[in-house]
Amino acid sequence: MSIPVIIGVLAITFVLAYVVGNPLAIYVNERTPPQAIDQIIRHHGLDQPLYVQFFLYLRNLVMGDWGWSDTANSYVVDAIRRFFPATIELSIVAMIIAVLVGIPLGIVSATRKDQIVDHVTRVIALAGVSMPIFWFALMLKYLLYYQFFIWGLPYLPEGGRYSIVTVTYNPVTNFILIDSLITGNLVLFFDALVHLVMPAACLGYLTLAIITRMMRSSMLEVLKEDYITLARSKGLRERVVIYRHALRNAMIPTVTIIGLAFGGLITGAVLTETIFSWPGLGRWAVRSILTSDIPSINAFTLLVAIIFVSANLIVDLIYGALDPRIRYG
Amino acid sequence: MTERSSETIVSEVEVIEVVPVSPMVRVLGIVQTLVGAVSAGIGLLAFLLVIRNFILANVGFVSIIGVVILNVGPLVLVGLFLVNVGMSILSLETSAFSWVIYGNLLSGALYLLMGGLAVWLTLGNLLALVLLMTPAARSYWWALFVEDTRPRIKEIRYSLYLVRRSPLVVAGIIILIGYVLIAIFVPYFAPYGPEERIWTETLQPPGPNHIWGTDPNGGDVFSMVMWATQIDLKIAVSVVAVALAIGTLIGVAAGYFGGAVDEIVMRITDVFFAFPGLILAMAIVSALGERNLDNISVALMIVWWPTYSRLVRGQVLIEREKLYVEAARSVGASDLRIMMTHILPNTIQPVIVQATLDMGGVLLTAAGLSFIGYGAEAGTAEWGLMISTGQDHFTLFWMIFYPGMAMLLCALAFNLVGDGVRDIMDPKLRRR
Repeated sequence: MSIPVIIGVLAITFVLAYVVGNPLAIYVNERTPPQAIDQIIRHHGLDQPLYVQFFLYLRNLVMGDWGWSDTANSYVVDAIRRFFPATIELSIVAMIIAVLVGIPLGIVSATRKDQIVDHVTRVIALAGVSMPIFWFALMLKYLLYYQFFIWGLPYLPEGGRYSIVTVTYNPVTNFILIDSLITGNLVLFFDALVHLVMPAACLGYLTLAIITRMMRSSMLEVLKEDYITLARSKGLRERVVIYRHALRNAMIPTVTIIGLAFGGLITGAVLTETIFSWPGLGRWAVRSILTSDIPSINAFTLLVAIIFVSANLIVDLIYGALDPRIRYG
Repeated sequence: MTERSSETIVSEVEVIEVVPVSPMVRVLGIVQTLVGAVSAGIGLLAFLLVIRNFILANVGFVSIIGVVILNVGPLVLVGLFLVNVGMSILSLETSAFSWVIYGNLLSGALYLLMGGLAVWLTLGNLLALVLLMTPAARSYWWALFVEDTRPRIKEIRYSLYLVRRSPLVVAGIIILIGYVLIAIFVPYFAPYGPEERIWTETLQPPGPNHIWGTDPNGGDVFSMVMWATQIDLKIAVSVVAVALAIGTLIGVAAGYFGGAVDEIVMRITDVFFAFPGLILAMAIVSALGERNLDNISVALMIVWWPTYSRLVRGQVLIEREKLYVEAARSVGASDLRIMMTHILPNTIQPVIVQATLDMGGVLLTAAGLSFIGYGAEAGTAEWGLMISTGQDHFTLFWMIFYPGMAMLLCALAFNLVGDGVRDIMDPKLRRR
């Protein structure tokens, strides 16, 4: 199921990089001597037919030769190794916030349908879906950083992953939260956590909105089922009915949405990271766009698609755990 | 729907036996076919032009992809529909007559949106409508139309009643109407032009001269937000319309033919779904080379069509098993006609709901692309770009706050209307 998709994804990135636009532009700049161009063409196989080029492209990908990134001033693979953990850390924290807040909100909203809590929740969720995330990020930054600073309140840092000036950090895995715990550096840990608050909250809000809406509607659907009526008529307490009987069934569509929302998170990361100068994939991608750094853009696109597909694969596996009826062989 | 169409077939047989074909109806059928063919032709031509330019650009002849398809794309779908309606009329299929009204109104509206010489093409639509109303043509469909319009009007009345009862939908509709009015009348009330800059008054806070302040280049934020309504609404609507047209055509074909076609199309949509929208759009724009609004629109269309294909295909799979399709096939209707005049009108409803919801999403994605520097050329009045300009001065909130609010309200309105309409259309939630 996901292997043809990955092949398709590879084909699309190949087409975008090598067929549309001039592939030579990747290897040539204004300082390249004209007589070297022929050699470059031959060296990179650009004189070969397209399908051969596609295989060359695949071979390079598998061999770990993803090209040179001007923006990061290193090989693309090294750049990914540097930026990827930052983005994943941010996305996972955002996802945790979204799930921890979104699911209870959805349950509350469904169980108290048409009451004041429900209306408030629905407005929050709807606003989250229709809010431009970059605008929300800038507004948060304006309020929590600038205005709090002016008012003399404890303000949140403007951006970055940790306070570079005051705290030292020696990367091990590049996941700051994990590294600081391993090395027992609690100062760094809390510093990193404080730096995470704003970007993660901002990034999590959209996902939170999506999860809340889905949870609410699927919960409402489930609560109408016969087995819920039966459970209630048996005299079970409402809490047991909701958390033991309804929740598990209502989780299935929600889990699908969470998988899909992971793609939204990466999209959001592109926009949030620029604003909070978060040294992750998204900011790298945006900078490479502005400098037309094609190998970086391609690597980023490919990587995101792979993350997205694997997120959906994981969701499929979680299904089995949630619902024994669709467990895979 | 099912019953009505099968009745139609029955009455058609009787009609053919009893009433001789009137010349007026024949003229109507021919006119309608021609109008449809012209529409479809223009639409196809636009697509072919784009493809041709695309190829030329890659061979190295032209650097820009000329985008004329933005409003023209949907014409392919409407045109094909009209061709089939015309041919159905020629074979006196009575259900086709009432589709003449809707089809011609739609294609007329598209011509008007295109502007230029295309406005004259509405005359063809008018001619078809006039011919439809002549007594000779009327005798074929009017009684039947009235008969099955009555319950339909009742249905619409009930829908309107449900709409009136939900304040959120009403609010959404009012906001959207407000935006459209702003987009139309902005030249008459905006104090400054969209690209007018007052170099002596940069970074002014909101005040009497500039009620929402000015940006670092001296542009009046209020005027720019208002002018941007035109551009952003146009992007949202045209992207969704074209994606819907392409997606629907492909989806109907995939669902109807099934088998290998279906399999291939669905695998392709899978691949497209593997990319988050903004990121695929980013990659496409970077491949297209030029950064401007037209290229954003093209990229977003490429990103968005699979949604509609999926939706329509699922719908078609249900519809094609129904009795009226079999009835149409048994009287010898061609595949194209069954798809266009029988199945398509019955599948379009959820697509419309999805399209309304997507407009908000497209709006936000387009603005996001502009924000990261992939969209409008610098200086254009566009919400995302305005925020991008303002972010270096984020302590001066007015440059960011107002465009963002405009965007938020617009997307919110689309979402409110879409949500509401979905609930109203949903037969499960609909009580009588």
